[in-house]
Amino acid sequence: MAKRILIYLTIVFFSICFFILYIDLFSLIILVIAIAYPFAMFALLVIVRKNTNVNLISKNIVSAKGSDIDIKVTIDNKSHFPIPNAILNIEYKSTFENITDKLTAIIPIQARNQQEVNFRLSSKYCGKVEIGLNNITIMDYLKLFSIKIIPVQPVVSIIVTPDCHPIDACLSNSISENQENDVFSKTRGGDDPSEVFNINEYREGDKINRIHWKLSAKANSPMVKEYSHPITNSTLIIFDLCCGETSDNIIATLDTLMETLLSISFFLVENGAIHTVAWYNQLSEGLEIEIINNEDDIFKLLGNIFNTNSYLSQPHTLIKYANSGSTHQFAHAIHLTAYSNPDFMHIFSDIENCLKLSLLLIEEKDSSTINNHLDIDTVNIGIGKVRQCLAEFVI
Amino acid sequence: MFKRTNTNTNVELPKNSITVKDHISLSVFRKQEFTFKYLSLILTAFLGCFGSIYSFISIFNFRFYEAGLFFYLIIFFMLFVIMFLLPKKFLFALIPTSLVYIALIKKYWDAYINGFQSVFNKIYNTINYSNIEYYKVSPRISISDCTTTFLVFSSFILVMFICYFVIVKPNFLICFLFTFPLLELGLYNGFAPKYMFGFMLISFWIAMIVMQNSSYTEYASKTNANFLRKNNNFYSKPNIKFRVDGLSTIWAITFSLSILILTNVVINIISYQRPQSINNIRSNVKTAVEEFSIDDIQGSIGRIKSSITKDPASNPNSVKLGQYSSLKHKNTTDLVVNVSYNPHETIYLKNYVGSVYTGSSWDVIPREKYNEYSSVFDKIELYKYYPQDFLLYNNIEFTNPFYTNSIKITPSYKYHNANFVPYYSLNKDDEFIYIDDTTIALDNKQEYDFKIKNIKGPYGTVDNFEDYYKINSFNKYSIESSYSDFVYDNYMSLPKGNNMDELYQHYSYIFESNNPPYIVLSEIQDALARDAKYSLSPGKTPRNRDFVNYFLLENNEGYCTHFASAGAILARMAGIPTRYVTGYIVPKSEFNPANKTQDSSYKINVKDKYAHAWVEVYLDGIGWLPYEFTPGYSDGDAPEEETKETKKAKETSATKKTVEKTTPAAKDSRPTASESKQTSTSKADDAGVAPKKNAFENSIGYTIMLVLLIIMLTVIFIIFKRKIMLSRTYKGFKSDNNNLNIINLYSYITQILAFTGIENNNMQYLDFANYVESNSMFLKKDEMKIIVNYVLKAGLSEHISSQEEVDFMLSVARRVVYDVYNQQSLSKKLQMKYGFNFL
Repeated sequence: MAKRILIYLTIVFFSICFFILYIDLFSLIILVIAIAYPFAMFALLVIVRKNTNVNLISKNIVSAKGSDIDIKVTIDNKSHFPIPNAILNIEYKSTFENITDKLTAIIPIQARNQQEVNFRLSSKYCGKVEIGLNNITIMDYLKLFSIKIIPVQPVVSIIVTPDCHPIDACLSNSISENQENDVFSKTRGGDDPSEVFNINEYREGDKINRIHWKLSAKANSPMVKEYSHPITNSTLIIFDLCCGETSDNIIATLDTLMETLLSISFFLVENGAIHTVAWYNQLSEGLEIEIINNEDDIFKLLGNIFNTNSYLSQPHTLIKYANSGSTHQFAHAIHLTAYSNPDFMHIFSDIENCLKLSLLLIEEKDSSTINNHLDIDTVNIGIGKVRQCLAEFVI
Repeated sequence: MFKRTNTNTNVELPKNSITVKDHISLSVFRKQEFTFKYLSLILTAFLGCFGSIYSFISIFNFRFYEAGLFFYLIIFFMLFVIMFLLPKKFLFALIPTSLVYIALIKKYWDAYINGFQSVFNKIYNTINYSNIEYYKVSPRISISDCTTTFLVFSSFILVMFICYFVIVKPNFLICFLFTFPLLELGLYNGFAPKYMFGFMLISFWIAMIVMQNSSYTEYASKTNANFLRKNNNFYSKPNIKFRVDGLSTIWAITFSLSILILTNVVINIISYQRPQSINNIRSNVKTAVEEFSIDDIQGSIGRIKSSITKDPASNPNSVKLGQYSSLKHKNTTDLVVNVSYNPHETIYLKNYVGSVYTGSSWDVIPREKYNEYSSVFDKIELYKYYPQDFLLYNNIEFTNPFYTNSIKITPSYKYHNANFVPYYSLNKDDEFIYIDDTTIALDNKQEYDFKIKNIKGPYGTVDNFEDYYKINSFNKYSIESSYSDFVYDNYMSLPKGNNMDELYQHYSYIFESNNPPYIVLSEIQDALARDAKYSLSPGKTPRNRDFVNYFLLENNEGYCTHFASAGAILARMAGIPTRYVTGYIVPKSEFNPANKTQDSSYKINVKDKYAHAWVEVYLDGIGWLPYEFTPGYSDGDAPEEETKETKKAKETSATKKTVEKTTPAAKDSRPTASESKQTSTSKADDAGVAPKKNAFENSIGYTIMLVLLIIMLTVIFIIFKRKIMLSRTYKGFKSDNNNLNIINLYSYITQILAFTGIENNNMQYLDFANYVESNSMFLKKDEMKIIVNYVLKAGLSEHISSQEEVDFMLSVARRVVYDVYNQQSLSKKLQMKYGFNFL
């Protein structure tokens, strides 16, 4: 555009010289149009800007890794003037990565019409993808001036969910059954007589003391009570969305971290194990503790984590939890992190009220982490190798 | 802005982990039925062809058959517009057209050459204000005929190029290069075209720029995609759907024509007058440009710079000598002078005094020199007896009462910072501001008057002696005596060097004669008249030469500046203090009955040619006496001097007068046998006077005819286009390749459905079929699904479609198009038929 402005100024200069050197009125008319025409173009742009609405819409709120994210920019031009050259400037980034990239498109805008420009993005890793339409720059017919139109909704966010890997871990007996609890499984029965899970017809082999006599009398056939299965909340996951500053591929590491959390959480929920997830909210700088009962809680947890940022310095969750003085008893505490520093291991090992301690460490390269604490089980998880690495993990 | 490279890389490694897919689509809510594309192309081409040709013709006012040329232009325009608007395969028609053109131009070659010569002669005469024929054209040849022939054949080429570079490959630069010279040829020489045609041409250029900006031609590539992708940048390609170049161009043309017409109307309403200051700058710049010389670039640039910025009468401290090769008078009025009575002599109006001669300029005396004589000037100030008044009180006999005249001076705009003061002015009401010992100034610069002591009375008003003469004889003598020392100290200086020595040697007979000053001055006057010739074009003084030395000893030609400078220097050599003065003269010949007003005073327009330079000589007991050294001026009148401009102006006015007397030239639409007679008698009309207003051009009939012609052309084009497109469409259904027929038929049916508002919008085929079945009443149940099935098989598999499938689709297409057509309103029907060419 600078080149065009220079050319235009040259034309104005020659018009002025022409006006001075030529007496005829024609020279004045040429000078007038050389000066006035850009004003007309600028006025056109102002009119178009006043009569144009721009909006950024995303068809998806949630998307899977690698799948298409459809973005739509709607432009409603109510004026009579079309714009041949409009530049869309869209920026996008993943909050985990925090590197902003741009895409631009030069499009025409029709007069008195509404049009849509559809783009498609995809994210290789999970996270919260923020797509922002900074502005649309419209240019006049001579490309001398440009004006920006700010959209109504400049930013949309899409959650790219991590993959959930079915893991072949083992659920330890110490936390599975026959522990007293007030919470019962809604999907399977057990032996806790304090609550009835279901009533079925009598089948051979059922215990006599489970016959529901009143119902049997009414139904005129024996009906048997099925007792409930108490669910214990005896697993704690200390989740640190953190990796070392020396990490080469932070986004891939964080992606694996999230997938590991999701996979373990799903595994526990599927196996009826209520568990607790503690995580550090970078934005509020506070420790968050959420109890996961079902899948909805998992998604809610993911959403909350995606709304925060990752951090590099140290495992804040571990430190804050250790300092919180929590007295809740857990059979198993799992520290899930990508931050490897032996200095913090003692903090983990000092956590009381936990029968078992495990460290799940996401590592970029296959390396053996030196674990000086014999009471902490360490499992190294390579990037993208969640299922393989958790194959024989005992929760 | 975004440079397109030749590499066709699709995606570079992204900075972050999010990738942008190649998919980008543009869709609109309401498909616009009329895109203005063809209208804008036709209109732009029309503006370019007719604007350029008629601009050229209107500048030089050729004699030719207007209607004939107009007719041929229309034919050529229609031919090329149709040829270039049709699909590219029709471009082959250029070959027979060119062959016909070549054959015809061969046949009419002689007439073409004669026409060229006539046109050239006309241009030459117009530019040079002469009647000389550059090419000798036989008088038996009809000028109108051959000029028309030449214009017709030349217009063919021009129309072809303009239409091609507007319609086929829009290119502003080539169009500009083709059309601008036609306008510039006249503009450069000071001739403008008829405004309407000039406006058309300017609008054409603007439309081309807009079209080029909107066509995305710089992003063209071989693929059919709508966008070109370079990394994460998507650029619209020339074949993008929903282009807006048509309407944009129409708006651009509308804006430009509106501004042009509005400007013209406003100029006429306010009776715009070109400011005199601009004219002055123009005159100065033209002179400076004409004096430009490679040998003296610094001086040339300085002259150009000062011509733009310099106030010509701002009392500079230095007047440069010998910078211009000639003096050009424009016959402008620089001063208006009202004189109460005829003084019977030339009145000198003084403006600038130069005291120090440097060899190339006259400068003022430095302030330090005045400071050295501060006691003298303090005394002058104390007694209010200034050197500027010495002449008045020493040279005039004061009687009581005495007669005075009055002069009122009204300078033009360019002298708004200067005063011009006549000699023997009386300081009435103490309003004079005495500038050192040189000039007098007044507070009022716009209009001021003086009382002058009448030398040759008795006439004029009567004034009293006591009102003016306020100094006694002793002080008067004392002041004059002290001032005389200052004069001899400062007004005798000469530059050192051989130049002055040579001059002294050459004129030593004058200096060594021991004659009284009057005789010496007279001898100098005679010597100058004898040794040098008065000329307004003496040439520039070479850079390293002394001005006076070069004038007197080598060049021997000059005007008042030369003579005054030479006289002043020679007088100094003779021991007489002198100084160089510039201003204006009002010759006694101007005091004639033509300038006399009702109250017996004289109102004289002092022209630029009366700008003059003379000398003041200091004589003890008298004061600064004006002395004339320029030959021809000493009798008190200014000689008549004819410059190049006045000569030209005379010739032009004589020519114009001749033209007014003869019959106007016949720009005849009917070639008759008596054309040759008419040519010989009205030859004087070729003198290049353009009629100011053409009644035909202004008539409403012309406008209506033009509009009707455009409508007729549009209708013909639409009809012709429909026939071609229908034939092409139906051929697409009946080719030998049934698969292709099926695909074309499907495309045809979807276009009709889109016309009814059922659009695909990136749906899958089967989804679209379901959508059509649920929303369209023109297709029977499952019909669309069957059609889609056929299309998928034809397009995506190795299945060869059968004739039954093609016939089925053809019958569906026919039925749908007629059903849709019958249900539409009249305007929609016309659109279907003539806009979209569905049936």
